[in-house]
Amino acid sequence: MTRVATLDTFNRALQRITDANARVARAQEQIATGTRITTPADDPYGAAQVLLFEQNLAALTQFTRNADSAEVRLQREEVSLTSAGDLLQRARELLIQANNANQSDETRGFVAVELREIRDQLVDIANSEDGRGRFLFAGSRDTEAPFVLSGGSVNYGGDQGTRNIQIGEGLFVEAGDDGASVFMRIPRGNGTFVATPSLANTGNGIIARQSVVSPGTYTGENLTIEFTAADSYDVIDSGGATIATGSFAAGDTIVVQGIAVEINGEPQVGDEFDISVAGFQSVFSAIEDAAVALDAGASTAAARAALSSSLNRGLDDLDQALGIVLETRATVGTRLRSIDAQRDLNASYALITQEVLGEIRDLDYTQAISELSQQLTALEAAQQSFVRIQGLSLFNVL
Amino acid sequence: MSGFFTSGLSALTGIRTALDVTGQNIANVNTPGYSRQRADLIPSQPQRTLGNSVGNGVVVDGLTRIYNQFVFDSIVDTTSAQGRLSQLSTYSDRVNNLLADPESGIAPTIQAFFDSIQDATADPASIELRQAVLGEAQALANRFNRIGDELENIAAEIDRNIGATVDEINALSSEVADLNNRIAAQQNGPIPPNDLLDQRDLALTRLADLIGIETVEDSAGSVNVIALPGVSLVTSGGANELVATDDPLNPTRRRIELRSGQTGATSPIELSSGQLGGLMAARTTIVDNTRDLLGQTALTLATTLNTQAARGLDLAGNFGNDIFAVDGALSARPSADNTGSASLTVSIDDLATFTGDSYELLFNGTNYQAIRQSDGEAVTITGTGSGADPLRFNGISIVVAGVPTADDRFAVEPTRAAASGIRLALSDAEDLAFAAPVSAEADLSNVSGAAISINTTVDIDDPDLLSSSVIEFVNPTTYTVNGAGSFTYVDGDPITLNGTEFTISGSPVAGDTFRLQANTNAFGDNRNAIELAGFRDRGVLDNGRTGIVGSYGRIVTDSGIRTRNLQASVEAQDALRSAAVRQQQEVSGVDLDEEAANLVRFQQAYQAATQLIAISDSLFDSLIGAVRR
Repeated sequence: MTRVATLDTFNRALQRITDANARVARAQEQIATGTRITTPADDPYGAAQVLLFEQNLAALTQFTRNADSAEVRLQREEVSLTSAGDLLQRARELLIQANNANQSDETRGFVAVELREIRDQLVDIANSEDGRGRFLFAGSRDTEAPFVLSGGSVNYGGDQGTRNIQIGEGLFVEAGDDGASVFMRIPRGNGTFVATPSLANTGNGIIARQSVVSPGTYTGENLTIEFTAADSYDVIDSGGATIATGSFAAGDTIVVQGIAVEINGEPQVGDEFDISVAGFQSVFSAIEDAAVALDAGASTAAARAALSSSLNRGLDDLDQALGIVLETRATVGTRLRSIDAQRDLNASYALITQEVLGEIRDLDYTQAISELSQQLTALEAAQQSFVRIQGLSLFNVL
Repeated sequence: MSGFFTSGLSALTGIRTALDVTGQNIANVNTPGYSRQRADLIPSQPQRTLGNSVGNGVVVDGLTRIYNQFVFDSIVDTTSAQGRLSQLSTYSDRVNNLLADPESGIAPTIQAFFDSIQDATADPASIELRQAVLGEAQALANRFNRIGDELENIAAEIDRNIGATVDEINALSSEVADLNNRIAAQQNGPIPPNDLLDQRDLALTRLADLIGIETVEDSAGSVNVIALPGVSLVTSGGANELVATDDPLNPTRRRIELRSGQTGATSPIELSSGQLGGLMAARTTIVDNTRDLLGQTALTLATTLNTQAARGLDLAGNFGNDIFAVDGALSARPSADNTGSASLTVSIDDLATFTGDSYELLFNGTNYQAIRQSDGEAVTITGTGSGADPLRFNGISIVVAGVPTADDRFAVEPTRAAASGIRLALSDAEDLAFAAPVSAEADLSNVSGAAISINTTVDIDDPDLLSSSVIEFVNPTTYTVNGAGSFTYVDGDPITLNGTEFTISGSPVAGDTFRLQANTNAFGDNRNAIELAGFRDRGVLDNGRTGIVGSYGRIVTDSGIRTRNLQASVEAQDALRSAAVRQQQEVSGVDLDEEAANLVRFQQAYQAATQLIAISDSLFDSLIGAVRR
């Protein structure tokens, strides 16, 4: 026979009520906070995963914020480049217009003035800001306007740094382009070589077209096409040696070292056309050079020829500048598209992470509420049975 | 005839005693530690009358205390274990809640700090964004401080509890010793020492809860009390006193010593059980351990970011100063008992193997031995401790200055104070080093389109790191540096110059020039900011497997697992103890129903006995009446 001590009955019944109370409180806390894991002890591995996923979520949010910053800069750059492209188009039209034979010195002067205005506007565009007061095309030195116009030439005070911004896990986007690569380093002419008539020429030979026939053949040295007669020429290399000779008629194309120079008009004996490696110049000096050529006037046949050569070359230079601007704008477009794509990707990662996080952390309310009512029932039962058992005593019936 | 009367009389006495005992049982129904008693009634020896032996009524042989030694032993045993577990569980819970609280947790602030650096990468020149980084850094340091300080408070609270518990234990030990004497004195006397035994058992149960004991009863009725795992607390000679004294290795901490009752000498002891054992274990394995690990996260954060900051330039063009300072980290305290003059300087040797443990370093006269505090395991040490060959283990290095003598001890606690001690060291947002130290550029007048780009700084300590260098090509395959030398160019091959590694790519031609220079005035350069922000994910500990957030996550997980396990253990131990108590109550507890039934039974017996007297009286009267005639 098992004896049941009165004090023990009391204590144990009390303990059961305390336990039931604790379970009710816990179920209530879960419902109130909406989370299954109120402390790491509830589910240590779950808690670790929650920490990890919350970190991932926060990182995705940050990447999206970074993407927004980068997008603003790139959109501004795109607008600036579009304006620059428009200006260069206009300059190009002006050059074509000025190259027309029925232009006078006066009208060419007007064109020169307009070209210089275009140049000034280009400087303003190159000094565009990113919306936070930083200069878009200054590289890393972006707190001061990078392009400074002084006496017809433009100096670049920025550097060649680029700004990377992280827009995804391990993914960076270049949020801008430095001014040196967009405005200062424009290949001259056709990008390989430049042919210019000598200033001392007496004939009206014009360099009409310069092109590369076999790429990589030109050594980059200075060459001179020297007319030994009106219908024949020598090509002399940088060492003074004659490396080619030929006969010439107006409109002929002279090919040497894989490069081709088409000369129109009638060069005179002793006229020279210098060929040098293209190298680079700024878009501003390309425009300025054309304006200077227009200012020089075309009173003689030779001067007209020189002007024509200059304008032809100027057109090539502007095409190069336009090409770089368009190319840069295209890469900006690509970067903007990749930002969009990455933002979408971040959003869907975030969604997936949220879902997983919810599964681990969030409470199933249906289950929790039924759990709570179960626990409440248990508590009430414990309380009622306590009262009834305590009421039982033999003393009551004595 | 006289026997009849005597029986009645003895019955009245005996039954009254039984009723008294029942009354005593009922009165003590709620008295802790009370063991119910029973009046042992035995028939009185018969007297020989007329050839028949009839009993002479009843006598009270004694009052038996209903008691089972085995059951009591199991209560002492389960109570000892429960005392320890309850303290461990309490403090594990406290620490767990501290780490879990989203208001005080560290993970969100770490994230916010790195986010602010990410924001700054979009516009490194912005003072507002730089201020935001400093603000978040301050918030992060504050968060570490708050948890660190709270852990320190918990450790101090444990120390106070240790002191209070020791006082209580001493009081109980003397009580047991005193009761031992009184019980021994009363043992063979007329009144059994039942109440004293109950008192002693109660004292032993409380002692078991506080310190964890085993008891052995000697033949004289005294119990010897052994505090687990083997400290003699009470002997037949009396009680030995526990003393909580300052730990010579750590003056802010108490350690327990035993003062011998006979000699008065004290010696440090190990305790493993009861609340006191639990408190000592909680201090080391929970609070100190968590402080060490949290400090490891704080110190790692500070060290990695400070190192990276020093690899970049601030707005003034200077190498970055420390972002965080960590006061009190890398501590090594000589024991107050040391006789040698040695002092130690601790530094982080290698974060990849840096564990953030604390150690006791022992000098045995020739060698050093490092014992990890958290688990008492020895750690392998290399080196001699000299400046050229420091002691190295677990990612730290220790240089010994002065001369140690044998048995000198040191507490090496590299990260213990780091969470409380981390603070923002930069006050000026302009001093955040967001720019890389060196910039490169191709001369704008270069004829070719060959490009230069910097890969990395390979030697931040190179004295010429910030010197300007000019790389000029004399022909497409050969270049000079600052006009001197002749180096062969290979397209895309990395080139290292003055501590900077860079690459030139493309087809340069004679006369093309590239420059490396100090990256001053590059307010918009974010390269070092990107490196700083990268430490959110970059693995730095555990050979690159664990990052800063990861190391914090590990603390949270460990704490959760520990708390959960302890909660389960406490529940299991509670069940064991409840079972033992129930068993004891089944044997010794008062059952009021039983007592009520006994009351009725004894009342009826008493009434019957009074009838015996009455009948005996009337029999006597009848006899007298008959004789008178």
